[in-house]
Amino acid sequence: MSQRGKPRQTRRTSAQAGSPRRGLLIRITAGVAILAIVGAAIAIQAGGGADDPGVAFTINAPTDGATVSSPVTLDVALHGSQLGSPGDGLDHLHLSLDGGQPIAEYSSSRLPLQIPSGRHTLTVELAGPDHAPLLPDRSVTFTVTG
Amino acid sequence: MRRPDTRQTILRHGPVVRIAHALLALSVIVLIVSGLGMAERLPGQAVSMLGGHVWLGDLHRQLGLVFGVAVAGLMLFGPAAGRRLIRDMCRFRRGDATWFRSFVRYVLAPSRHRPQSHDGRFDPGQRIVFAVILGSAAVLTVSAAALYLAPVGSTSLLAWALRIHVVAAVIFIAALAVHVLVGVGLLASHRNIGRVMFGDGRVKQGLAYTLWPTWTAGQITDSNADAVAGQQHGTPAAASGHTDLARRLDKARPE
Repeated sequence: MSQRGKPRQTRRTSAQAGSPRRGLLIRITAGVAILAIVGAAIAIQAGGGADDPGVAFTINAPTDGATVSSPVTLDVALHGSQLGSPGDGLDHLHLSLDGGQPIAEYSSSRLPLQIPSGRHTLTVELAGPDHAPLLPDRSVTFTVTG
Repeated sequence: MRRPDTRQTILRHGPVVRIAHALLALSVIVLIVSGLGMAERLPGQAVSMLGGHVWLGDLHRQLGLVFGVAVAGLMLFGPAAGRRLIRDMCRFRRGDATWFRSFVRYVLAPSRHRPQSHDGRFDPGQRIVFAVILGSAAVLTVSAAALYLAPVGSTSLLAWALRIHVVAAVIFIAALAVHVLVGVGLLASHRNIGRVMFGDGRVKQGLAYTLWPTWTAGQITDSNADAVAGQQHGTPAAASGHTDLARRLDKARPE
């Protein structure tokens, strides 16, 4: 009986000795994987979408230094990007007037804006479905006459 | 098994767990609000008051990244007690299924019914809610990683990652709502349970015995053993309920 018990005890001992090492190996592997994902995520966040040469946008109107009347027509030309619902994997614009709180525009890249008289700066940013900017923002400064 | 003294309280969670829970709750609230604001699922005025769509988006992405890494790091490399806690949260036993019927009767009429006994540190209902919270949080983390890492213009991948993220968020919030409803002690069956996490960490022995009978009996037995060890050894530490110290003293006692 005691001889039967011995090998079982030996097997259990070796299994117990291997388990923490295996657990540590799994944890280290998982830790390295997490670090790799975080590193890639930070690199993507820091670099924006600049890595993708296919995505670009320009502000066609109003032009920089122009004098326009309200409503001001904003016309943004998109290349390699389509506006729409983030749920469909599509991009959107962030619009900010004079450094104010940006608003999101999902449907159209050509829209009339009611802007009071005076000199203004409009900043446009192209954001992906995760709401992160895809490219550095662009600004135009113009004057609105009554 | 000694029956509980309904006037006495029992320590359910120590200060470290309560602080960790509070930090977790705060982070999750900020992530939920910023996520809803970013997705324009809150009224426009509220989004504006909270800093706007872009600011909330930045907050959600950056806090989400830090939070996901911190939680994953703690689960992998943190104290073993954390992994034991997660195991206790998600381990189901044969017989747990029949517990639910008795629990519904207890919630509806706590003065007339008692839930069926179980041997978990958490009751089966808690464990289901925790399992859903942990499962949906894992899906949220993986889908968020996909959103971070998907190449620009990969419309289909981004759309799927976002849809999965949103569905997981809805399930997560629903499970969290159940957890909060029960945990704040609004139900008559769980009166004053809120102090377990947002008070001194203690719960009345009677309620603890009703909800977690085996765990409570174990705690009472432990504290009795400590008191006995304290009397035997005359050590104030053992008598005052320092379980580990009392056990070590007991082991060190000559046969």
